[in-house]
Amino acid sequence: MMNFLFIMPEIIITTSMSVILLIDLFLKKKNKIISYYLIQFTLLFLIFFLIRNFEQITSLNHQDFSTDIFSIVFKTILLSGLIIIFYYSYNFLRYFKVYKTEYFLICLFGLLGMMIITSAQDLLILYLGIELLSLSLYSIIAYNKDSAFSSEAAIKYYVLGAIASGFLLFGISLIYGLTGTISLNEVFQFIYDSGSRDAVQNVGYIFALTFIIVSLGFKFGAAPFHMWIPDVYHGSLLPTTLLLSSLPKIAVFIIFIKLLLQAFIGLFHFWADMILILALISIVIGNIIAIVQTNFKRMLAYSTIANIGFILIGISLGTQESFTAATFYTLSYVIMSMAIFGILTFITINGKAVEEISDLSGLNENHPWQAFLILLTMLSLAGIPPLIGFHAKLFLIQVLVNSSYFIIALFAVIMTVIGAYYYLRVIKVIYFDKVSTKINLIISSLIVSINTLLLLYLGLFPYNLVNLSKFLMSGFFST
Amino acid sequence: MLIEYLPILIFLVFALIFASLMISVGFAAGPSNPDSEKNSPYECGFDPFEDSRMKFDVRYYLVAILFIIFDLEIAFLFPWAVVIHEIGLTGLLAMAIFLLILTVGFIYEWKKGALEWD
Repeated sequence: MMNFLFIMPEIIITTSMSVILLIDLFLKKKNKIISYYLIQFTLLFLIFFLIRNFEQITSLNHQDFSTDIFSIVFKTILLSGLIIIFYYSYNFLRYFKVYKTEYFLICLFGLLGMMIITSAQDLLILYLGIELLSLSLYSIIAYNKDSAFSSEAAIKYYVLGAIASGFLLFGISLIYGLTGTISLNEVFQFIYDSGSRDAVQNVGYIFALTFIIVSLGFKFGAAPFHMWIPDVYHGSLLPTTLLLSSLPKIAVFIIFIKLLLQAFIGLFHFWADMILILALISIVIGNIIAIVQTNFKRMLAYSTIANIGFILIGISLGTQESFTAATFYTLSYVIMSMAIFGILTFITINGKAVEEISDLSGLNENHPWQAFLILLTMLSLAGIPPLIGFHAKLFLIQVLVNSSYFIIALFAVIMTVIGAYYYLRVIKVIYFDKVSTKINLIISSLIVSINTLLLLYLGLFPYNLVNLSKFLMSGFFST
Repeated sequence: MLIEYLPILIFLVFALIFASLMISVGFAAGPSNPDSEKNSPYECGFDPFEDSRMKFDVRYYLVAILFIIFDLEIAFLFPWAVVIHEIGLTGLLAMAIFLLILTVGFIYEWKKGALEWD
């Protein structure tokens, strides 16, 4: 019998999903909390499994499915993020009486897709992971059947996502036609060996890269492929927005690293400019359109687009430093995003979920701790020291200056200042406006507070996260 | 090597020309005198009784989706059955795991009432 240890985490997830699905069928409605505890237990068990069998797993070498330290660390990050997200989502869904275990099970499918993405060494296995993640997200976004707006957002994302996946497959097939292989390492070897190419082959590579980058740009949420993000963030329930804005961003970032850094590094001068253009347009569109938003979720959606632009700048420079900066930015962005959406998940306005920014006016009078937490997350997103957002932006701009991209660095700083407006406006509304709605908390959650104070802690001691990013990227730059 | 696809290109071009010719000549040379009576729907000379769109029972859609899933399962079973003597015990276990996952889905849809027609 073959040794299945390399794929054991995925097997554990699939088995536990099937078992929990069957158990949940036979539970009475008031006992459904058991399946929630089972799911959380499975995720915790997986983290312990990964950490305990850590040396054994990293010493395995499978051709298409890598289980090196990079994938183990990211799998642990995804799992721990998902535990926290499930905790936030469960309280929200239970409070509004729309809780079904299938919601978490579909999220687990998405997690399976993300774990496949982190370990993929083969273009088709990468595609499999992307599709599994996307299909789960389509279903999760459409979870709120009662709202026509929600179904519209789901259909938008579904159609555009299917087209993007089609583009990705077309790009992958072109790469196969050009190199004769779909394994990432072999593609890299082929491009390296083929040395100087004639114009026809170059056009082929540019074609393939364009399709792949367009597709990934869509999934990441980079402008000009960003049109689905505001609608989907606005239309879906808050737990769904929480999930959408955090973990898939890590997954698509890993796809970018695997494709652009592992396979296509030889074609750097082709894709560097493409991604730089995506990045610059994203920063402009994200920061400027967010100024006129009155809906909190839409504003955060546009701020997502702007932050994605920053991450793409880091990717487009192509040096080890810039990729480290991009990884650090992604990880800190995910923590910030989980914090703000987590805080919003626990606040109810007149018995409903948070929608408009003005709903939260005067939050400081009745719930000062919540107001302080939102203050921390908004300042962190704006890039104010001593919070982690500042270090993330600083690292990126430092990398830009070190590579002599002075104009782009100046542009990024100006856009950050413009972007600070809408974050500070939220703080103004919370602290200085009169209370106009009835604001309650579902529960006063300790985990949310820890999540947000983590922003302050990491802002004071960022070097653990920076060293983690350096360590993760060092595997790709073997010098 | 690409030259061997030339007949297909000629065929495509001819098909395009022929089809567009037929449609455009019919459009240009035919008479066009639209009339309100000519454009209305025909129901044996009477006025239309009701809107001709029919209601669509969404359970048909559910049945179609379930059919696709299990039909693809069968489609995977056929080639497996042809080569079972070559792939031996490993092949049997692999297919057993595949069928097990689909059976979990089957139990789920049965208990949820997707198979009821009421």
